[in-house]
Amino acid sequence: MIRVDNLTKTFAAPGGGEVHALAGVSLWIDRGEFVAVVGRSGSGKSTLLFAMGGLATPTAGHVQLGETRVYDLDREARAALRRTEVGFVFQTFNLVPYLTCLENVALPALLAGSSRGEATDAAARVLERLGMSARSRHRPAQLSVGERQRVGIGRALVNGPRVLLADEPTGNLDPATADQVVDLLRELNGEGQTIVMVTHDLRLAARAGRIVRLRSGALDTDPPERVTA
Amino acid sequence: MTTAPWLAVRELVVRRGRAALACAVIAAIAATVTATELVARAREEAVAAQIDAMGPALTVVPRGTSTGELARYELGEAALPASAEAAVRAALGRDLRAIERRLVVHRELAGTRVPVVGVAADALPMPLHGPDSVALGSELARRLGNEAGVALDGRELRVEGVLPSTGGVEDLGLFLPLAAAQALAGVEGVNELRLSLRAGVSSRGAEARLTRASLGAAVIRSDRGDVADREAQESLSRHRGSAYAVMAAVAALCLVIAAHLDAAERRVELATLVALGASRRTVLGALLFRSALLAAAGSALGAAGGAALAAAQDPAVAAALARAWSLCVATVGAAVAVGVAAAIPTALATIARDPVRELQEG
Repeated sequence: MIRVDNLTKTFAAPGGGEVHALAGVSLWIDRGEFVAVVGRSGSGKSTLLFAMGGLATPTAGHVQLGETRVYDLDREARAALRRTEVGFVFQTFNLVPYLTCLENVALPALLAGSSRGEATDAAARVLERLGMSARSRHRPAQLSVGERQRVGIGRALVNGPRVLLADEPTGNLDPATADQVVDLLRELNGEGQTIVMVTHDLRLAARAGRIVRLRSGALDTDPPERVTA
Repeated sequence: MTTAPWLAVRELVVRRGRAALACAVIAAIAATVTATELVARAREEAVAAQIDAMGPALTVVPRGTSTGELARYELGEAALPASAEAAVRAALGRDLRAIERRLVVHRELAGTRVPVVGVAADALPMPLHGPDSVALGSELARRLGNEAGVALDGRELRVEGVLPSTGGVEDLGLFLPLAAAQALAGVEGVNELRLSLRAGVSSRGAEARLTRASLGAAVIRSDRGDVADREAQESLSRHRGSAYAVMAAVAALCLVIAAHLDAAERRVELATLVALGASRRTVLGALLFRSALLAAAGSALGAAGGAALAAAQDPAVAAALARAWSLCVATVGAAVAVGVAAAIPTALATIARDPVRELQEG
């Protein structure tokens, strides 16, 4: 499903030299898996996630999504891939503040070329599935943080992506709401949705099907107790 | 509506308070340009009308180089070729505003040789009713003692009124309907075509075009043609273009700043769009369309306000306000072009940014 081969991402350090955000990471994620990526701040978790989504071009190595080698595509083709095959969920929700919940969820469908009516219908179905229909005409500022994240998940799901890539989706939520969001992700996974979730919360990570740990840009094989925020 | 314009419209409609300042500046500039241009055009038309009142820019008369031929013209025996009027229209095209057809003959009256001028019935300030109805030049009327009637070639003519003084030879003239003058002289056709040109058209240039057109007639350029050229040059027109360019530059600067602040504030939102699969063209389009929309809204408001302001202050503008729409459309069009151009640098810089960095730093 997703194959990451010897992925390396290097940045120029501000004071000279190089920073290795990812140092030869290799990973295989099967269809229908729920994988949690854990590690300290700066360990490369988000960089790995964005690289898997075709958003961060690696210095070396490659990412394969299905049969497609992501970075063999040009920038516009990778954008098209993100529109249909990938759904991103963000820690700070990143909802467009001037759009309603319905419009936010419909946005990726519009970007993918759906008509206004088709996109709105698809968004309404997703909001219904997430129990957010009553809030469809509200703007993000009128929602609780938990509701915002549900809308963010809905936006990631509207085009029926192969994989949901969630970057610290519970990072801005209180523990109870975070549990609800992970419950939702588990439900979606139960319906067959492949999910990769970056988190620093081992308690929540433990609810995923598999945990992958990163340390200094590389896979860590130490016991999970040592990987804490 | 595709996604980029839709996003721009939604952003501006919902967050209109953020765009209000830039919109107000554009509106103020558009109002200034529109009001200035409308007042200037009205003044130019007024000047052109005053100059027209002084007489025609050009007069076409029968060609005559010998004393005998000139005498025949003066006696009204020589008429212009029938094709002359059509040739004039063809040569001047849209630059020709009006043609007045006249037959000028000379007769003894009140002990003086005076020009007797046949004109169209509606060419004078007072209407001429029938073949015996005439109007007098102011000097002729004074010499005749402002009598109600006058005899010419044994016919009693009724004086309808006295024309305002022009300070020229026409003050000595007796004006009657063209058909009556033709019957009096026994001449068909006319021996003068008085040409009025559109405002801003050079009488020298028009004279040169008529000379090349083989009219079979002579062209006389009157002094007022020179006045018209000079007045047009001395009008605001020479300076308006540079003033408007400065205003367009100020509007562009305002829109550049607005686009820059907007893109800076929406860094994460725009990076999110990229993460969701928006193409560079979509992001670019959203930013450019937003700036164009801002410029269009501001300039439309400003143009309408400027036109209303100019009409309130200048009655000549109010009379011609129905023609102001084309100026308003041009103002909005120019503003939209400036708006798009002003947003291009910011939009290009935005799509060149690394979306991952924007998302992680945001």
